Amino acid sequence: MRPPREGKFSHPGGKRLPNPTGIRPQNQAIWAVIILGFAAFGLSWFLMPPVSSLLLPLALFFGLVLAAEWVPVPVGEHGVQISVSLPIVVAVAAVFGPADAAIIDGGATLVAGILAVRSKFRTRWQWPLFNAAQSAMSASVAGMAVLPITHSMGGASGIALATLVATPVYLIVNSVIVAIAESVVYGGRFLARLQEKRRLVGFHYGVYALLATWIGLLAYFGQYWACAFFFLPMAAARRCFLLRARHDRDYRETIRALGLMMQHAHPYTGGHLDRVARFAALTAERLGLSSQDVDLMFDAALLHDLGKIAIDEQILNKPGRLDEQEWALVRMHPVIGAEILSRVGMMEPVVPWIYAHHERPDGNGYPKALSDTEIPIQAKIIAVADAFDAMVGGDRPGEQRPYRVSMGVEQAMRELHDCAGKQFDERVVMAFTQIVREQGAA
Amino acid sequence: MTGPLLFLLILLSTGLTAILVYHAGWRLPRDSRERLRGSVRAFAHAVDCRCHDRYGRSDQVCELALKIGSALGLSKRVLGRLELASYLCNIGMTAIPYQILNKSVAERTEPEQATFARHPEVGASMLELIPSLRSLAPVVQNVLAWWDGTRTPYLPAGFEIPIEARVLAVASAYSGASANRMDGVDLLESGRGTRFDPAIVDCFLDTVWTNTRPAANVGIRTGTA
Repeated sequence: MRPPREGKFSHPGGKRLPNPTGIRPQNQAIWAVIILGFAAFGLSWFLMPPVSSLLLPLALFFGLVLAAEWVPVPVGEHGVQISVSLPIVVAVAAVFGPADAAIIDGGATLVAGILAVRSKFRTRWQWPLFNAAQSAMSASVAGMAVLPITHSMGGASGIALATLVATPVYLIVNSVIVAIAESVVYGGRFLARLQEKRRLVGFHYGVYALLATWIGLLAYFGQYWACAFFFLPMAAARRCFLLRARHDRDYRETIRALGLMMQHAHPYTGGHLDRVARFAALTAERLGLSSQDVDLMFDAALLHDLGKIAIDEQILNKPGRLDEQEWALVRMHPVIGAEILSRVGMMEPVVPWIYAHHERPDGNGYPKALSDTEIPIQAKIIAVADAFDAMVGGDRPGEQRPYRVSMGVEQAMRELHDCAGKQFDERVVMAFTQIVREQGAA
Repeated sequence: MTGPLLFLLILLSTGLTAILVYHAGWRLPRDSRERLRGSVRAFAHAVDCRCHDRYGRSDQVCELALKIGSALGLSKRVLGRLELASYLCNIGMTAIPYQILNKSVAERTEPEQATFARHPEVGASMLELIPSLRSLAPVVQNVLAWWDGTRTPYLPAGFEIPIEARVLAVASAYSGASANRMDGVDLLESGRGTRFDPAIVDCFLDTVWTNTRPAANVGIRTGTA
């Protein structure tokens, strides 16, 4: 796995996080990983020097890893890439030793990275070095972890067990390093980043472990020519992951775009929903929600007013007071929105959030007048972000609401704090105002 | 020792490749289509919620359109497009003001009717912006197009109208007429060759309608034939 390429990275909020640490600590973190990578490589060399008598098979494996690294698979929405080289590296680590695996993985990643920098993507030159170091470190740690197994058991069963153990070790080390690097360079909580990695790679793990086991067995019996047989499933696996990622992304984008455009019937909603979604996702992240919830939070905030398309705009935009009947209609919009979204497969977890986004902790909200503990935290986040942006209003004149005069950011924040505990949740308001101040300063 | 092992490995690798190819080639596209279909259906339901007389109509139109499509012998691919298009063809109604949308044709003034008639155009321009649905934009744009082109000179006519749009015109006209307690068959027969593609109207009346008509309608159809 590799961290997202610089510049291609996008936060759920659509914008890159402002980097609070400046340029220097980033470089320090990258250099720390590079040095640690060399240290791990040295240690594995010390424990078990690389096998030099089998140059031809090692070159073959190097070529295979290079081919896999050259065409990485993007997973998820955040620009994280994985490559299918892992089974080969793990097999080499189990059969030949950690130092060989580190040389092959690190070397191939470096070559692929440098070639990529020159031709495909224009990234900073540290990234190939960083990626090489972190793969070398992952490979050597995975190899060293299974040294006791191969030493004590020996034989084909030892190799099989070693590959099965080394695959998760590699993945864990790799995820932790990438998560640390991302949280240092791009900001965000380390645990949330790690969780995101687990979610992204979980599916691939089984296939990797299987492939690794039998590449290892083939290498153990010296049947290198049989590589042809696992090249086929590997190419198929890569294609499969790629398609899966592409289908997921397409689906998500389609839902977002359709839902967003349907809400554009209301003149002020466009920019409003974008901002609400961005701030809601940032607040959710700050409050420690899981990365899956943060992503869903973004979509939920984009679509939270979908129910309004069933209500006459003349009532929604009415400048004066609404009569009893009109109020009853307006109160229906969370219910209708939840009902519509309950039919969208991906949005199922979001339904209760949409349903409750006009509930209040003091029990005076609608549609159900739920009490504080019954309202999901995500609904409270939407409520705060929505209210804040409605108060501040857009910069463009068309986005100001006809029934309300927009106010300044400071005044709106005071209003939020005054209503905390009654209309809004106190914790959410605290986190939200922090986010607004940071964004304003950036 | 290595002989049987190699055989086993070859067997395994072939098996795994087969599973992965099946997954990537058949399972995944099918699941994605199913997922997209369900979600697009949900958004069509949202449009139905906006109009007073449309509750449940998009499902009905979809069912009719698919029946006509398979009676016409359309390919599976086109039927898939037809299904999505039947759910998406009214998506532009979300941008039409609520008051105009919920008047009957008779109540609308001339400019109001003109605004209403722009909904396919709006819907098509929405779909233009969504890569996975872009190919359906021409279908949505032409759902109100007349077969002979007299009433809609700004749209293509005859066989230039996409087949999905021609089928949808018949299906939604019939469904709309029955929702308003009018005789859908009369409407189709009077529009045959002017508003609707005659081949599709015939196909509908001969196969779909005769198979699905309510028992009470039997006499009417045999009487007019």
